[in-house]
Amino acid sequence: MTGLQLLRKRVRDDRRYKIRDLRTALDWTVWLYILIPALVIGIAYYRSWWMTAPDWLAGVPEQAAVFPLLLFATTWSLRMYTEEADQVYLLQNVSLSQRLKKWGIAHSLGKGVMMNTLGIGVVLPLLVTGWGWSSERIVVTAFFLLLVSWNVRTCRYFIDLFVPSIWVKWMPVGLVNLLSVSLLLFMSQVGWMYEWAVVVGIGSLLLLLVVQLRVRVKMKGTFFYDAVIERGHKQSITKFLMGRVGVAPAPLFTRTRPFLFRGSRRIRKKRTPEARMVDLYTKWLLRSVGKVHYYLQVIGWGTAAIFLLPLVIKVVVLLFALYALIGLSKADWREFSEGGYAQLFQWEQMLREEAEKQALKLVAMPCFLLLCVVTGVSFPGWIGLVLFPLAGWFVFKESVQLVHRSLQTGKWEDSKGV
Amino acid sequence: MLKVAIEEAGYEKRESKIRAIGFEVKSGELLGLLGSNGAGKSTTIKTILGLLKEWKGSVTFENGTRYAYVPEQPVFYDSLTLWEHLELAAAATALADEDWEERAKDLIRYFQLEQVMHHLPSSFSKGMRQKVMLITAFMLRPDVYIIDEPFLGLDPRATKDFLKLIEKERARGAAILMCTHVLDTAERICDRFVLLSNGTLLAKGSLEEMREQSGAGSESSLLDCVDTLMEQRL
Repeated sequence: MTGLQLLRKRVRDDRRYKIRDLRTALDWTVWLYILIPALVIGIAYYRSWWMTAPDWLAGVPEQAAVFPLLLFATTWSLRMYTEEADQVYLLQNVSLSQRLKKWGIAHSLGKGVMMNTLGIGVVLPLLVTGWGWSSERIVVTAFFLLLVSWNVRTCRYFIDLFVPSIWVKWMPVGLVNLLSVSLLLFMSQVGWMYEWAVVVGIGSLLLLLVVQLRVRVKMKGTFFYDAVIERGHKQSITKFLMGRVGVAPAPLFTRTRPFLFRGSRRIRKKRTPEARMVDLYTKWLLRSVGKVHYYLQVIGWGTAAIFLLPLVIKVVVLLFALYALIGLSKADWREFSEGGYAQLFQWEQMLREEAEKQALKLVAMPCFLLLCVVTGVSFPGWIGLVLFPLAGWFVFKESVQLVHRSLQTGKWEDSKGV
Repeated sequence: MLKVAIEEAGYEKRESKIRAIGFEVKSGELLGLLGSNGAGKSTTIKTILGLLKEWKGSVTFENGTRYAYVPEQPVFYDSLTLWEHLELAAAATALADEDWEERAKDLIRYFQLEQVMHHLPSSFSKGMRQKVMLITAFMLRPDVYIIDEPFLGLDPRATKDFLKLIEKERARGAAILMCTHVLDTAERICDRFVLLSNGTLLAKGSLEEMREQSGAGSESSLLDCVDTLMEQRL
């Protein structure tokens, strides 16, 4: 088997695995009520942008285009397509192993080209009709975007490899992103007009990329790291859909003490069992970076959508955010209260219900009210600022009651009571 | 304190893994649940704990009886410390601070984990993790202990400490159902035994009764009895 054949097989397996995961989550109801309507609305908007630029674009400076473009252009990863089982055979076959590595890198860079084309394609009508960019400027920006994204992802691979601590990692990652954004801003605003700047920029970025890739190809001793990272990529959709359910990649290092609330100190002084329970749930949640990340994502995407979309859609987005936040909280509470450790003893039922009510509100409510305030701010006049948080508070309270009742029904159906 | 009468139980509908298993554990008694790999010990325990959906029969805890379970594989929350795990167990069972804090500290000292009290158990060794499971159970002072393979991963000193505590709890009147493969220790500490094989009850009773049922001599060990009974079954 050649390196290319092996890569093809692994890419096929990877694709099959992800499609299978997606199929389990995207049933016909999701397609019918969410994806197809979103697609139709999206295409309609896209077509209209080619005719006339949307009104909201007038308030957005053209420099801002760089941020979503870079974000989208760097959604791929540099992959080696190695598997743990390769230590049995493939590692002994050095030339095949190297060829797989090279093809893996080439395939990853190819994915970068695809993501860039897609990103540029989506914002193209805004660039052309909205900000009136010339074709020369767009081509130069797109080319730089591609080179920058290749470099960023390769560099990100090295950062992940050498800086395992998530709390230190943000510094080099932030620096790389800052440099990338600065370069893209310069090239898309001024640099594209100067031939020498384009030539020097392309030459430097290509050189940097070649150096990084040569180092990567020659680097030894990264097999287990690559295998863990690969497993993470393979299960990325499962992880996205199911949070921490399923097989998670092995951690790169084991933390001995928590980074928040060290010394097991309590958050509140209240000493009732419910208060202690909710305290512990809060600590568990806030210390789980992945979980906090999900809430931040809902807030981030929700805020962007509320600001950018028309009035009626803002309310739809708000309702989706409510659904997502309550769903997240519900899943988190279930994971906490039904985890392996929680089954070692009998819970006081009344206490569990009381704690559950509080836990559902704990994180989801502030997040939702924040989005309500954002909607209020983006609503014309001061009335929105009063109306949306108040209505949001009421709707949230009622929704939690509803969820609480449904949770209890489900629980009693499941339990047999020893 | 605990009466078990399982007609059948399994993980899937119409696929029972255990059948016709009945026994009871009285106050102050230590009952050893024995059997080879795949005999149905863990399924029996899961049925008692109410973790299986597909089962017929009855599992009755005496009125107001509370239980604690020590699993074979320690289970934890990744982001809670040892002390917070104990706090959670105490809160979930509605224990007031004064009812558990001192006891928890004593147990932590007893099992020599004071240095890592505020550390995450996910960073502990296998034996340390097992100790946390034992501390959780002993801290709650339940009426019934359900213990699955407690000796795995424990060093000799910790095993001795654990057995001492078990004796204390029996003296307090707690009933203990212990699932184990360590037959020589079981022979020393258990009052009665339940032997499972291929998902059914093969024999039950005291060591004397096991000797009678197996037909092994009056001086034979528990291992000899179990061995003979299994061979007869084959």
